[in-house]
Amino acid sequence: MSGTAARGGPAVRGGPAERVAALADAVRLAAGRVDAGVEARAADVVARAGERLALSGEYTVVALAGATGSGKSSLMNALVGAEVARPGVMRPTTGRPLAVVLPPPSQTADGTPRGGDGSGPGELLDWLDVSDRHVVAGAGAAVAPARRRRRRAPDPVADAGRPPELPTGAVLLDLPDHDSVVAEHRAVAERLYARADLLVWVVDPQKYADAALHVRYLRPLAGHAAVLVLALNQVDRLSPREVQAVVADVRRVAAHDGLRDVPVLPVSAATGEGVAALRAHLAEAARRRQAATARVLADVRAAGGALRDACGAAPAPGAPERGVPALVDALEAAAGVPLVVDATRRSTLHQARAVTGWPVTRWVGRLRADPLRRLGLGRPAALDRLRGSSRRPDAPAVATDEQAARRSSLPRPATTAGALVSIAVRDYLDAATTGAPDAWTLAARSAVDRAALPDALDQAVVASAPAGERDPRWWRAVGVAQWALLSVAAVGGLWLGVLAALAYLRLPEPVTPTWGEVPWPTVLALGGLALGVLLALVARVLAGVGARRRAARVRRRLRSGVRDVAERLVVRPATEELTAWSACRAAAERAAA
Amino acid sequence: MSTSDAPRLVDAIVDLRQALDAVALPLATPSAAPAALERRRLLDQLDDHLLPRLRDPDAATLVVVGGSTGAGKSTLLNSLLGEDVSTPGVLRPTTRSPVLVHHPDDADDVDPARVLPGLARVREHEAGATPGGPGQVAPPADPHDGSDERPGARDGQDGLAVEAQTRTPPRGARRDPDAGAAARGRVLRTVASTRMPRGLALVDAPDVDSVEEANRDLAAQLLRAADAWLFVTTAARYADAVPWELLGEAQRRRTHLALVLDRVDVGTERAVADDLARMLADRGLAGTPVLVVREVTLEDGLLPEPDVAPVADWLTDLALDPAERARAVEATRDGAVLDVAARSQEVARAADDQREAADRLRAAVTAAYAAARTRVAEQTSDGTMLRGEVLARWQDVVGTGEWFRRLEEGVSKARDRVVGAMTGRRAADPGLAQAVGHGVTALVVDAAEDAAARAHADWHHDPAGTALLGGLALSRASADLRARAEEQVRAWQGDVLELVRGEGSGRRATARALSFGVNGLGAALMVAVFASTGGLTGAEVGIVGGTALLAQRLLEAVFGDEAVRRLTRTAHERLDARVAALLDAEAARFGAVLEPLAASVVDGGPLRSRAVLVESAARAAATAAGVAAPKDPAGPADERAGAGTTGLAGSPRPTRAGRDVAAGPGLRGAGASRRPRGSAGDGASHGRHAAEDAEPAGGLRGWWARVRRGGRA
Repeated sequence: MSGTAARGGPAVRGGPAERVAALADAVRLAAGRVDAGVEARAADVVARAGERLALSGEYTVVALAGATGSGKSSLMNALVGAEVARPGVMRPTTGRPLAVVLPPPSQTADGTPRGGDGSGPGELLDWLDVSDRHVVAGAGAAVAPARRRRRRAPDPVADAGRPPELPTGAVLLDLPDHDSVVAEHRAVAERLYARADLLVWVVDPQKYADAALHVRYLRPLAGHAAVLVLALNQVDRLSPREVQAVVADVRRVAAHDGLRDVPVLPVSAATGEGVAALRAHLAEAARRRQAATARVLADVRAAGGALRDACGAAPAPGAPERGVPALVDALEAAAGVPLVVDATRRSTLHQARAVTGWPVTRWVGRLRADPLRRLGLGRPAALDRLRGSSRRPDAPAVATDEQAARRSSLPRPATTAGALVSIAVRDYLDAATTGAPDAWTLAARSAVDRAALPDALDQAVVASAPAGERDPRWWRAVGVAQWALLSVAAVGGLWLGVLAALAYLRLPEPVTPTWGEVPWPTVLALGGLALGVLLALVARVLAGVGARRRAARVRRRLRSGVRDVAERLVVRPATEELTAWSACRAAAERAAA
Repeated sequence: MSTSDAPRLVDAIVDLRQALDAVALPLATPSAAPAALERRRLLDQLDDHLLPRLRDPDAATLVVVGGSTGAGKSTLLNSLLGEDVSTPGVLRPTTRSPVLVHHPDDADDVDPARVLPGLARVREHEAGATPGGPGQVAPPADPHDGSDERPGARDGQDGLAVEAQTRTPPRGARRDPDAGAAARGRVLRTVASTRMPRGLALVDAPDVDSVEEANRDLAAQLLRAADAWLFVTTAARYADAVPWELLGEAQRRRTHLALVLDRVDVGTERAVADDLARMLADRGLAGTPVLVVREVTLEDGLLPEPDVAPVADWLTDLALDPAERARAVEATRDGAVLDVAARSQEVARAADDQREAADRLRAAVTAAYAAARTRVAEQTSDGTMLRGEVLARWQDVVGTGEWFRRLEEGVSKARDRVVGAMTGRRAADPGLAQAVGHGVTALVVDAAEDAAARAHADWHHDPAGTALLGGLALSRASADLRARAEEQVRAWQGDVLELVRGEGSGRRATARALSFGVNGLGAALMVAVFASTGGLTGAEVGIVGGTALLAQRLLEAVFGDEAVRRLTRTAHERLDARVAALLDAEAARFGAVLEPLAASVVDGGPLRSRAVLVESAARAAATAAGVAAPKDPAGPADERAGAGTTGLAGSPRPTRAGRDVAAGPGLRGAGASRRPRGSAGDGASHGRHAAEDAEPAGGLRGWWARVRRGGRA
């Protein structure tokens, strides 16, 4: 049976692998957005937990940790029942960690790692970077130095000498101290404190309240009570009553560190008192094979909790959508949309008048520039010429091949409007980031590139420019009718002129047909003129209605263009940050749950 | 000569103390926290040790018994006194408030005014005793009322004089120093004992590595106040890192020091003591006496007399041998003076860091808002304001936009039309004023927002600044800025009209001005202001340039060239001033956070120079003492005192030398280890490996020794 499977593979919901993955997600998302220490610790946990879960689950790594002189090495010897570690009177004693491998019962007697999942104690010990290794084989075998031993082989232990109840499937580590003047010891010890599955803190009556132990090691391990044991060593130096008092005090101090439920076992390496109880405790832990998972879970939970707290309160749903309409309004104003809409209306009127106006006065309108053209949004002059338009070719329209490269001559939104854009974006971000932690708010702010907005807005206006629309057909019809009416009037006028000339020359007046009482030439001349003017007026009214409709269409197009810009340059970058925030928080929450 | 040196040194140190006191470290620079701690320690050291010691070189020698938790300090102290003055126990940490033990005759020497003035005093007295005046001696009483431990140790003849004092705290705190300490901070219990040699005061300090931070700090403070250290460690602990940090400090300060290696298992004494001696030598403390006390079964809670003998001897020598005492006190003091001077330099550097940080933070704000001001000034004068809305409204003022375009060719032709527009007293357009107000407000607000964001970012990246920010409030402009900016812009428009009116009241201009209308001219002036630097480019000149030119010509026609230039400049200056006032108010928000703290920041210069003065005064004094030393008879202290040439600050009082053990029973075990060897003067070697065979003698509990000897025989 593979240890990994026993501890729940990645498929198990809420299992260690999934939690580690969640924590890894949270770390990735939180990069640079939370306190660097929290982030680094969480990243450490992710790396370490992943490595530990990949290694053998058949072995529980039990570390004897503690201060110098607390009797870690003596306790190790007492536990194993053999002189594997060498205690001394000179401080600090143990400089290099020492491993005692207690193979699982199924394993070969010589301690050779089984095939199994391919990760025996060897890989585990390599990962722990412990080179002093001893193997205590199953019952009937002796303590034997492993192949990579550095020390002289200890005397073999006789069968009878092997204590019963020795844990199986465990690696016992005798660690250097963490509090002596030799700084390297501390580095080695701290590395293994982080990697061991079950930490047996060996304290003694002299040192159990040292600041170094509690502030630096036990307090950060709050929440790890399941994988900690406090072994109060050297109880032979105390009277039985004192032992009770000290054990109670150790519990009190541990509770103060946030380790209320941690077992406190009084032991004496010298007399052997309590060693059996400790051995049984370790054997039970090794038998259940849960310590590795429990340690990883405790680490991941602690790191996830710290990360979640760093992410602040849960985000309110839909926050990024808040304030978008106000943003679009402000961007519209800054992009000059009202100006363009108004110009569109007037330009339509202008063009309608040029086509449908009374031909006699039509030219007056031509003296004015097309309002849209003045904004650089009119038709390209070449297009106009193609259509036979007689508009001035030198109108200040910028015609280039690419629509995208065109720029309007709208007033540059560089100053006043640019300022308004900035203010609008800031207001939007304020609304969207309500409740977000400061770091994420700042990140969302810097994710929005305000400098790119004016150009993008200009492009959007050009792209949805109204110039592309075809003129209504009735314009041309009215135009033709206007010329026809003018022609009629001209015919009438000419006729009247001829009649006048004949009269002037006293020639006989031809018979002039009449329409009722009124002669036809008069009817033609006056009627043509009057109808032309009337038609122009009617067309103007109709064109006004059409112009307003076109303006409304343009307004819709422009608004959607501006909205696109707002989405692309403001809302999306900000939302990405905010989504990362909520995703990070959710992942941390999953890891910590 | 040293008589004049001493006061000089004292004065220099008093000056240094003042300078040190003046240093404030309110900003969270990287150096602030350690320096604040250092400053506190230096002040404590000056008050607790150096100043009292320099002012009164003859005061009782203060020996602090310091060490690790569980090292057995209290047991050792009790064993030395043969009395239960400090409560030992198996629960850690044990000694929670320090105990000062002194000879009753030395009560004045350990008066709070002279020793450890920072600590509140509790003199133990019997329950129900009326607190009396200072120095009033209450009847001897059992200090251990309510204590159930070791009733056999209550021994009236040990002479524990228990006194009441006006400073006595409420009775509840007496046997519960924890509660007292929690309520009041730090408390020192004083106990007078005739066991103590005169001229010697022992302080039982809390653990240097206690889990209680307050205990650790107090222990370090007491050790810094000591004339000599009796540093207690154990066979299990002697390689601990924390005590060695303190020992390193002792080495740096050349503190007079002895190590007690306590709780050594029988049989391992030599190996452990040698190892410790090697470690001491490695760390520049070679020659430090190592006094070994074995792990033995306590008798009535006290160590057997022979076991404490080396410690008792060391202390007794320190108290009674004037040469030894002077050497110890002076070495410690001189080392401390130089150490204080050197460490003051670090505080001075931190003070400089504070000043720099304050300047840097101020400069960041100033730069951000100066940039904002410049930007607004540029944007309101380079013509870019004349685009968009303002332009459209101006065109409304001068006529139709369509016509206006055609006026580019002939300004004079246009003027007629403009004049026509103006003379009609056409209300000069709330539209233009509004557009201008709107535009300028937006510029100011945007600039202020950018400045706030920039200053915030600068502070955010500065450790000292981050601590001040407290959230993102400062990264945005203040909420009412827009309203204030609008108000200011309206006020500026009023200014402009005022200017035009004032200029128009001149003789020649009046008539013409009246014909154009104040409002129209005001509008023209605003337009002229916005284009006053003429930073226009390319196509814009067509529209904007024309606009501005028109306004310019119009104004020139009315007021004349010179006046128009002046008006434009004045109007712009007024706008600038109003914008500056707005931005200054914004910048003041940062100042409001920074200045209350930065105001107290002082330069490190005075402290540095005073530290140098102290150092040179100390060296001068040391040189003087060194010159005098050869002449110094090593013998009678009276002569030395008469010559007045020892050390930095005089010499011990002659009376000190006259003291002898007869003043009291003396410390338990004093002389016990020496007697058999018959070498009383061997200060360096005595006590090493407290011989099991040492012959205990003397002291009140000599019976025990006799019993033991008898048993062995």
